[in-house]
Amino acid sequence: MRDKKIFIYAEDDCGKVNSAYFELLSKACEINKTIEAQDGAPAELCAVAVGAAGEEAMKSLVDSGADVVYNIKGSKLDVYNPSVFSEALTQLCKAEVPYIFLFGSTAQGTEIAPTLGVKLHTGVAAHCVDLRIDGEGAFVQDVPAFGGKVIGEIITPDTLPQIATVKPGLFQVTKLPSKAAKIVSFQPILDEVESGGIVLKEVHIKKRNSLPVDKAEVIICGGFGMGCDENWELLEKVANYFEKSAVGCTRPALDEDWAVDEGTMIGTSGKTVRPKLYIGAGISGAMHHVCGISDSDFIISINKDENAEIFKTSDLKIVGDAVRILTALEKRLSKE
Amino acid sequence: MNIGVLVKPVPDPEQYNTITIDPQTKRLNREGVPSIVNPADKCAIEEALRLKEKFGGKVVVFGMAPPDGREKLLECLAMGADEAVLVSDRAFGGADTLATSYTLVKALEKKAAEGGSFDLILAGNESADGATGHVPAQVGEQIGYNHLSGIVKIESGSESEPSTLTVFQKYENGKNEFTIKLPAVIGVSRDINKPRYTSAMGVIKAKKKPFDIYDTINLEHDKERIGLAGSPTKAGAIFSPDTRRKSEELSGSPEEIAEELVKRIKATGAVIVSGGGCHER
Repeated sequence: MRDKKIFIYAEDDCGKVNSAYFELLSKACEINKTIEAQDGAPAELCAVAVGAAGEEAMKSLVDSGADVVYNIKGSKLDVYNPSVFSEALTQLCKAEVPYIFLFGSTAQGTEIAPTLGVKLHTGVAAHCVDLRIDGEGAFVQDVPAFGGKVIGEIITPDTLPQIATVKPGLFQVTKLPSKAAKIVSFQPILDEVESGGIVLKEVHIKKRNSLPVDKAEVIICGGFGMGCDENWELLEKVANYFEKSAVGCTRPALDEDWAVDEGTMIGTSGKTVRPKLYIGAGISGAMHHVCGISDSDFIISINKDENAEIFKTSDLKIVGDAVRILTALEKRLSKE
Repeated sequence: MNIGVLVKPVPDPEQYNTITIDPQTKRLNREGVPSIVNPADKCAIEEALRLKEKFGGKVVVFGMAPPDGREKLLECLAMGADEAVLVSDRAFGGADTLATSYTLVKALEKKAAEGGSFDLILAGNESADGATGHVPAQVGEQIGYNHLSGIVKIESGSESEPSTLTVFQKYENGKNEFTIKLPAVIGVSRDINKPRYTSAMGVIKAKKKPFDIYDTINLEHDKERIGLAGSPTKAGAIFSPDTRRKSEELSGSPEEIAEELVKRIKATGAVIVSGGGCHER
């Protein structure tokens, strides 16, 4: 009998399904192999969509490789409202009692997951970097602490669901066999819920001139060692020589206002990236940054300080002035 | 406007590289790493002080910490907060975010009963050490107020005291603009402001400001909901991720390095665009 259910929050992303869903589904599928070996039956993998999931989103959920798609509908659910969404999800959890509930650590996920933790009086593991079922059947959630210097194992032994949020970009998407998931409509009772306490007035979508860092294949990243605004432009110039490239930054560069888009910050409190090539210029290698780049295929670092921490995490190290090296690199690239 | 601010002393994030795990005991060794007020919490205090300067009222800081957390709360008072509450008891220790939020809610309720209710509770969105980001939402949910996290801007509008705030929340594609009715709990991101510096006068004044300590004796609570017992999550083993790579060194003149770099870059599969005019990045 398949009595365990793994819920995965399918967040709306401008009419599409947020990519975190597919990453989590791939991971859930991996976990499910252990569950199947231990229980004799796999858990049911369930997508959970709240609000008016459009045709395109529904189709990609049905084809995603999940067993079930819960479509939570209601008049108060047309626009994102964290308190109403949380109440709707709580009612679904009470009805279906999922074993595990996974969220991406997005703005929505990080608001709703801890709220559900209170409403269902259960544990929530935050920003997990890995998930597994151990030999005794416990769901082990690896959470980072101290900027990622330390990873701690967290379990929620006595309460359900076991809720975890996972940083987008960490788990790779594997194509799952499509099996046309069963759609289950769920209508929560929301008459009593006050929806006027929090109202989403407007969504200000930021126009980007380049790829978001977590989608880029080449990242030219600058830190405090870039020294000034003018030098910062050099990163853009070098990035222009690569397809699917983006300029990233560290917290100090953002604090100096050299980098203006906080969405390009890489690290534990920013984006996690896994490009083919990462070039770090003038970056010391604080743990909270290193954590965000450690899955990159190839890491090149340039720093004046030969003892810079970032060198330990690099495939190639260059001890020298980042501005001089990048200037020479730009010149050389112009001949390609 | 009465504002409660939740603060947490954390080991200085600048020194997380020096934190190790003892290979024998498997426990964390953070010796020599000083505690500071969590950076995002300082932004929460700054935001509270700005609102108080506009609308009057008071700012009360709450910190749940061991007894030496007192010093960090004094720093908050020196920055300009009016009162401090240290929530401290061995029995509160080992708490996960649910039990921590429960305990903070009890402290907020006690202080409100004694000195007037809070219109707004601010907190740093996440702590630098654990960084779950759960506490604003879990305090809000348990105290029964509206709550939002990840806020990068608060607009209080009119000159008289507002009943609703307009807040901007950072999200993946930009910003969400919400209105939120007070009372509310708001988790602020470090992008919201640059906290003020503390003046020498502030430090002197801090010592004379009201300072309460709440423990399991004077704080009404359900003992099943605090500390380890009140925590649905349990912590297991800890380890340090191994991020080391071979770190081969390239040397020579910048030109020589650039020449070699281009070879290595091509080997990664990165696609070079001739002329450097890649506008469809």
